[in-house]
Amino acid sequence: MSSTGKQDMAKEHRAPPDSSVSTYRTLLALFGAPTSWVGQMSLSEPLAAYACYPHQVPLPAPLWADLSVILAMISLICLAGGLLSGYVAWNLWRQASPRPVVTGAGEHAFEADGGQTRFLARLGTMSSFVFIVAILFTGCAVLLVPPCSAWI
Amino acid sequence: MVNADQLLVQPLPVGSKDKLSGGWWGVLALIVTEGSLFGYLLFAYFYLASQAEQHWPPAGLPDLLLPSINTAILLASSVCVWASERCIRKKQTQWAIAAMALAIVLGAFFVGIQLNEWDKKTYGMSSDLYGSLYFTITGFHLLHVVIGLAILSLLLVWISFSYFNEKRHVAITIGGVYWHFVDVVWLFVFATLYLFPYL
Amino acid sequence: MAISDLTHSPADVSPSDPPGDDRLSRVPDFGRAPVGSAAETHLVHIWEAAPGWRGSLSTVDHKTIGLRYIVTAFIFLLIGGIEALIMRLQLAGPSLTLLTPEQYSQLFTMHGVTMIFLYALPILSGFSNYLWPLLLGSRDMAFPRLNALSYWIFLFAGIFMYASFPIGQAPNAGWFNYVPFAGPIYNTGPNIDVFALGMVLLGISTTVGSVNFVVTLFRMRAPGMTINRVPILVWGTLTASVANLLVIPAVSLAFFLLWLDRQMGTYFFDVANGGKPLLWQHLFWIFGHPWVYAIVLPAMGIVSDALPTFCRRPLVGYAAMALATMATMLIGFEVWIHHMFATGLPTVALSIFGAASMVISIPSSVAVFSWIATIWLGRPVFKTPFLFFAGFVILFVIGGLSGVMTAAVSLDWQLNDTYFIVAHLHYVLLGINVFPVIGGIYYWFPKFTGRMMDEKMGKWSFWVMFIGFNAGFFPMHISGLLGMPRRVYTYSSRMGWDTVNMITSIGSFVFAIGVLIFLVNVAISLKRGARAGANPWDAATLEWSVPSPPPAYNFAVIPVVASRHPLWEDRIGESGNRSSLEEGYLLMEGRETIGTSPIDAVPEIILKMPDDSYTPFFVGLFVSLVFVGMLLHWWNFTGLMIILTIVALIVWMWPRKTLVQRLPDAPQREAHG
Repeated sequence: MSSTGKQDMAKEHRAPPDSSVSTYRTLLALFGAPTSWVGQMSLSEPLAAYACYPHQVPLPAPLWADLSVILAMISLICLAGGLLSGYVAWNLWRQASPRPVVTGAGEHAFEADGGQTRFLARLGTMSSFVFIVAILFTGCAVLLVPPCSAWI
Repeated sequence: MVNADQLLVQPLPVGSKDKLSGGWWGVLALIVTEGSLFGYLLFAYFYLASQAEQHWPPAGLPDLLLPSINTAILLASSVCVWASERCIRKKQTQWAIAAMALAIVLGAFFVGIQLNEWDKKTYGMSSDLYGSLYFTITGFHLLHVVIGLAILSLLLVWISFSYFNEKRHVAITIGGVYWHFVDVVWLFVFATLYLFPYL
Repeated sequence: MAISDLTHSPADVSPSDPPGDDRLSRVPDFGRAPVGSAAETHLVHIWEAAPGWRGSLSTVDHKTIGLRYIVTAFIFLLIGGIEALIMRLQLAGPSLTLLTPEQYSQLFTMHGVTMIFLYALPILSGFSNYLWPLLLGSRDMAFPRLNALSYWIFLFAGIFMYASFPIGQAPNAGWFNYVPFAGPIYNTGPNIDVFALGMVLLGISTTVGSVNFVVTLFRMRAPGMTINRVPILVWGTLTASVANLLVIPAVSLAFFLLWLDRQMGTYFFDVANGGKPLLWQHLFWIFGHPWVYAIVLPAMGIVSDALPTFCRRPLVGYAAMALATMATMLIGFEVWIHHMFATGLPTVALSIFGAASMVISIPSSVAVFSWIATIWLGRPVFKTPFLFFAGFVILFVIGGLSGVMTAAVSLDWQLNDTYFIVAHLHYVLLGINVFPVIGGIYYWFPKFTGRMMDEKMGKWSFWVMFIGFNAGFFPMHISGLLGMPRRVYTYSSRMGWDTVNMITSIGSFVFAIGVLIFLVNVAISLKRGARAGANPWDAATLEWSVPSPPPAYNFAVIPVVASRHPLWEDRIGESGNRSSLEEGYLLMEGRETIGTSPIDAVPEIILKMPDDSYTPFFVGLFVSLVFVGMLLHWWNFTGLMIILTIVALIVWMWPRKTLVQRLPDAPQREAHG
């Protein structure tokens, strides 16, 4: 892809032949990392909470001995998801050409692409960055805090 | 994509045209929020069930036969609504009326069987926590089915008044997708209340 | 959202409509309609509401509805403010007896309910309702009648929640209304039932309003206003609306389950029967935290759109700001447990949420640096709105910092339920909501009324408000660190909290005087303000291209947009193209506007907009009466009102020829086979 000339890429974005593929990639770039993070949170929290406090009395040790391993695995898988989304977003951004200059357009011309492709790719890159950081933060919490400890 | 001069002379559809209409987008947004509502209902169920001290469900495992048949009935009615819209698109109004009427009958059967299920329960809404959950969740769903049936009945009336043809029938598309939503939600409710206790 | 629809282009659909039948499809006329021309007069005739009470009950004009929202919400702000002042009188010194404990409980509950639910979001909905179609270059919102319904239900819900106040039975369990105190055993009066049913009712209003905003953004933008050209206010309200769609059901359900517990004998929150009080807290805060962002993000959008006007340059980092808006909300969905740090949940579970809460500082900082850079790189003009927006940035930083502090679990345990939290939440809510809102009123007042507000009084109002606010709320940090719990109706002088409380009370009254100056300014400027032209601030966005106040039809022609700053194109010149504001789609065969594609804003359809209608008012009225019936256990009345609601809805939904929802009286109707 990266070897394609700028001209060709501009054309590609003005008339995307497979717009559905590009739509899916844009959606993945935009929402892949946030979804991974939400998944990490929504899986880790109930597991961690239930393992230490299933019923009326808090437990000194988790219900499942390898709780930490489970949580770490969840974090790793979600981190992979976030990185994938970041990679897709980064590629999209690099492919999205600078805004094509419309030449000789009339007074009331519609641009074929007013920069929205590039804009969405940029949003995707930034959103992936923020949420990869979020996944790392959450992962740190899992790794640093011993399960079922009391706060002393 | 589209070139400017072409755009200025291109005819545009007027009024509520299929999925270009505001109503279609509106019903999708409604489905998102209603779907969340059922999500929170099921969250409440799992939250309370996971911390339950006594046997869950207290009255023993639910019987599956009739509810499974009922599920099939509801899904069949969804197919009928889909068929009805398809018939409108193919200019077969009589068939569209028949399919919509059948969908309503099937939906009404579902309501009847569900009310019968309620009747058979030995517990009520205020006898224990499970009863509160069971009747609230199925009650919410039943309410949606009844609203859906009202919408389908209106659609039936409108189709038989020849309000729609293959070019303008967005009401059927919108009412239809709401009915499909109500049916899909039932699959989640069914899985939660009837299948999950078997795990 | 169906993905295939995102890329729908008109080329796919139009061939199915036969050429020649212009009821079902036509080429929209393109041209000019200057003020006074025959075309323009025709537009006025089409769009104007009937005069008198009939017009005011039936109008669906987004501008009227928006102003109603703003005025109603501001009245609620004043009511909530007076409640706060009474509380500050009670707390001005130790062991005062102005209020009984029960009165105090009802006052702080109603203060919270009023400010958070009846003021903070509705006023932003007011701004967005008024401004969205003007910002987006449309003639109305996507669902004008739904818009009217949303307002009527909001109004009735507000009245409903205040109904038990005069008889001394107002909600009294705090705005987050924790069980078991709010449950049937400890709270036997009608207090909580009023709150519970009122919140479900208000939820309907917020939900339909949110549906309207979401669909409007995706369908109603002017041709050429691609997704990277929409104003930030639109991003803010869009994000808030999507969040509302996802989380309002949580709080409506929680309050409905509570009502069932109280009136129908269920056990959701009843510990003795296996219910869990923490279920309430989860459902409430799953809603509550995103809601906090829903009531600040549109206000941040107000600043992002209006601040550049006074810095004489475009906003720095448009894409970053758009992303910060959405990222804040996305993170906001998964931090609700930081409101529940003191509930005894296991440590790892809490730490996860503590870490997530700290991540919010990333998008927030991006936003703050964006505003600072805009001021820094611009040539600031120190008009009143600018002062309010700059003050907002300072208050946001202070409130944000105390927020990061409480995201740390261990520190939060120290500060939980103290006045430190009260200080934090007032810094973020007044700082990020009230200051931008008042700045926004100063900014858009000429657009609303056609008159400028007085600049001298404006500056006075800002400085008095800003000083009063900081004098009132900063000491609360200290009283919190000294251990003063929130929601106590009095305290002993031995606690050593006398001085800070006195300063706080004085500050709150100074703040109130600032608000009073603002109100006087509004009243005087309405009558005697200098006449404003279409664009008195020399601003960049589309709402300033139409006369002040805007005509009923908004835009005589639907503009074609070629950049983010349609009115600054000649001096910025970042794109070769120019927006076309004088010449555009005419669309005057009845109420019409253009529907465009969600991302690319390519014209796809000519949308028929509904005429004025009484049905929204009656649906709102009947729905509200359903809740009155439920509150009073008048079951027959409730049933009757449900039937009336259904009848009104059928009238509303009946397919209309004028909207081409069904076949118009067509030249060629097919024989049915």
